[in-house]
Amino acid sequence: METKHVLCATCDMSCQLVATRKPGEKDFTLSGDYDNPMGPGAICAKGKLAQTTFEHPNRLLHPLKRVGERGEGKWEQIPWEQALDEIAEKLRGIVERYGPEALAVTSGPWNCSTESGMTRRFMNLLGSPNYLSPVALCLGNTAAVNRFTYGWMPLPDFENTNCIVLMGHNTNSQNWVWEYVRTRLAEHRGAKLIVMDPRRSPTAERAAFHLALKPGTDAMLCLGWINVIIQEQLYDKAFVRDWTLGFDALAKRILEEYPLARVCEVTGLAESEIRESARLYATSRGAIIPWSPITDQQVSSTSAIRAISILRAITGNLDAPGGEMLMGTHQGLIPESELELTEMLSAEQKRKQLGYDEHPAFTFKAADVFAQHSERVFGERYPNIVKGTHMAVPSSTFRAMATGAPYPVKAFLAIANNALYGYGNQALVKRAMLNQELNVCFEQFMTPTANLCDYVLPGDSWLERPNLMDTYNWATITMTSEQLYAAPGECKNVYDLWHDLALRMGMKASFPWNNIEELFDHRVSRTGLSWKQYLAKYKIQLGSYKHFSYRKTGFATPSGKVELYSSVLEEFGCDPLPYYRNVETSADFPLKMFVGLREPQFFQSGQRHNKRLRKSNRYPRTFVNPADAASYNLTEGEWAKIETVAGRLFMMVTLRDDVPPGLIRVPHGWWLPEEKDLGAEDHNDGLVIPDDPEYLDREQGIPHMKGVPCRITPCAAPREFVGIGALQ
Amino acid sequence: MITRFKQIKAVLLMRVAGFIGQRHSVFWKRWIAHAAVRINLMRHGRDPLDFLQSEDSIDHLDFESADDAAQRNKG
Repeated sequence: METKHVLCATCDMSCQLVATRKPGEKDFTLSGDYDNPMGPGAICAKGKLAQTTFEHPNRLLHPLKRVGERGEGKWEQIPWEQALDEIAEKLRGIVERYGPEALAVTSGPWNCSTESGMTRRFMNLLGSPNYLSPVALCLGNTAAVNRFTYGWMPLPDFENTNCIVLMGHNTNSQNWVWEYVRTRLAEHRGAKLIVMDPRRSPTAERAAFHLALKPGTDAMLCLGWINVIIQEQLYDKAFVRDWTLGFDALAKRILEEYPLARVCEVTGLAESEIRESARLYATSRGAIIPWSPITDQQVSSTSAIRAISILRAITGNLDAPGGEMLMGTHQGLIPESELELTEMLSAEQKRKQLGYDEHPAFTFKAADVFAQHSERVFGERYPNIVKGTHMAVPSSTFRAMATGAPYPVKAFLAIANNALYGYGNQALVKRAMLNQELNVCFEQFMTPTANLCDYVLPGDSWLERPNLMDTYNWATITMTSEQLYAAPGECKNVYDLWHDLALRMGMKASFPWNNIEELFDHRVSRTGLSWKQYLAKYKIQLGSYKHFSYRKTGFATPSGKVELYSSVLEEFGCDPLPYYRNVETSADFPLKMFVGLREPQFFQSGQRHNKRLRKSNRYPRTFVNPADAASYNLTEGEWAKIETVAGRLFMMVTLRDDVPPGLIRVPHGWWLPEEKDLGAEDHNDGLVIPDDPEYLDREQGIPHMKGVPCRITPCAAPREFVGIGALQ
Repeated sequence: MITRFKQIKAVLLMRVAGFIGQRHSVFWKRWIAHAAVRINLMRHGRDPLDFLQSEDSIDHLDFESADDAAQRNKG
């Protein structure tokens, strides 16, 4: 029996799997690794069936060049050499005419998890600050905002915690599996759950408290908890006295502007629920609030994330056992921040980053302020935590691409990212792409984004490459992954793409490694091992971590303390204290739409071509409460049109009484690979997510997705569906 | 005192996890790692991974039979 270990990169959880095959067999069978000390047995259907996803007739195997109009789907196969020569020539011309900032790159870090900072390295050497990523709406922005309070993004200590707070985060055996396993094990040990979620869920049913708040009121609920904790003096007084700044200002804001009566009115919760759950959290002696995308995607995002950070701090959970670990990165490895060469990007170019002044929270404007403090505490000036701490703002960038203001952006590279579907306001993203002189996609399948490109380059999958996974620059945990199969056709690793393009752009000396293994050799060189030896020695390596390190180093903030009152936000002209803001319904749009219903068959816009997964979920479906269905004449299994100020989409109606009245739920990322037009403009949530200023978080510029005012009406099927019989 | 005890326990657990996460080539180290996996699981109670086998969730979203029925009706 041949056995290998592999890290699943189907989603961002990185479950550790075991791959086995008997002598004579071609294919490996994947199963969860029960020997993994942190997430034993974790695997979902998408992971188990990964080979059927990638070994598929739809897989892109050769470089393609567009021969028809953009979006027409007419291509010719060309050699890699020709593709890269032509791309480099066009890119050089664009840089000469418009400057290096005219290149924008969007990257889905999970899908190309071996890139080891090479995307930013290429961009920094070229001089472009305009790196985009969907992590701006998912975890990366949380990482950046956490820095305002205590300088790093903490990792929750599931193994020792006594209380877990899940915000709309319904982990289960098919989604967030690794976290699900850790949560369930903690519950087995006796840890209590508190769930904040407008809807009933299996997780909520297990919880000590299910706080069924109104959508998008998470920040208000957290402010309510802070109120209780201050009023009832449940905070860690010694920590607050010695290690925080601005407690009095915070207390004044909270007690004057967010009395519990107001919190109850806005959230729809009873005072007793808020009080008792806040007490449980604050007195648990080891409590965690794991990251949740809920607070990443709303108009009060920055304040919600700041309020969570403040809760962690004032209850004494920072760097405490069973609390939240401020780890830094693994000092034994060469970190991505060092490989990215951020210092090579001039101050002038950094200031050109799109969104820099209007929405500074995760741009270079903030990263530059934190650089010296981060170096003092964690030894890195530009830690790119979850690859999200110095990005361009997506809305600002797509506007510049579409309109040329404040300056032209004329080349767009989408690296393992279905960008048309990865952000809000899909119509703007499309206009932006159509206004480019060069669109390039590095992909596994012909996605709606790839279909708008001039060149489509075939990328490898996580089954076809080794991986050195550094917890996305977040923590001192490193994991490795073995290659199971050779990449099919002419599929290449993302490192090969940057290396080969860099050679053509005159950056050969800065990309000295001939392949990904040589780059990994370099990254592990401080351990005294080669990559091969490191891979043979470790599935997981846990780097050093000490509790309460801040007592020696201080926090990585300008004051060295936890800034409850943020000096950096104040310097930027933003509110230094958390506040509450929401978008309300109107007569035209009387319902709220929650984007992000997790379907077990798919991760984001992936896997729609996989018939084995699609057969149990063939159409995009919206979840509606039966009372609302009656009010709006909707019928189970029939189609409905959902409209917002941004546009419309179509979904099949599913009645669910776990969804509260007044709210509809919409899944993310739907397209139909079996249709000629890919169903690209009928079903994706981005079609109805507005990014006008009143729908954007002020500090980050990210759009509101958790409670967008909308209306829903019955309609005929939007097309004659060819059906999944057309898939293989 | 309690915090110090918890701290020591957490550090110890992390060291054990680090030992388990290594790919040991020596037989007795492999055996110890395997035993450590079992002990680590046992601290969560009896049959701590039962939820991996028994989960029945409304969020599994299997619409196959509904879609097949709709298809038949349409046909």
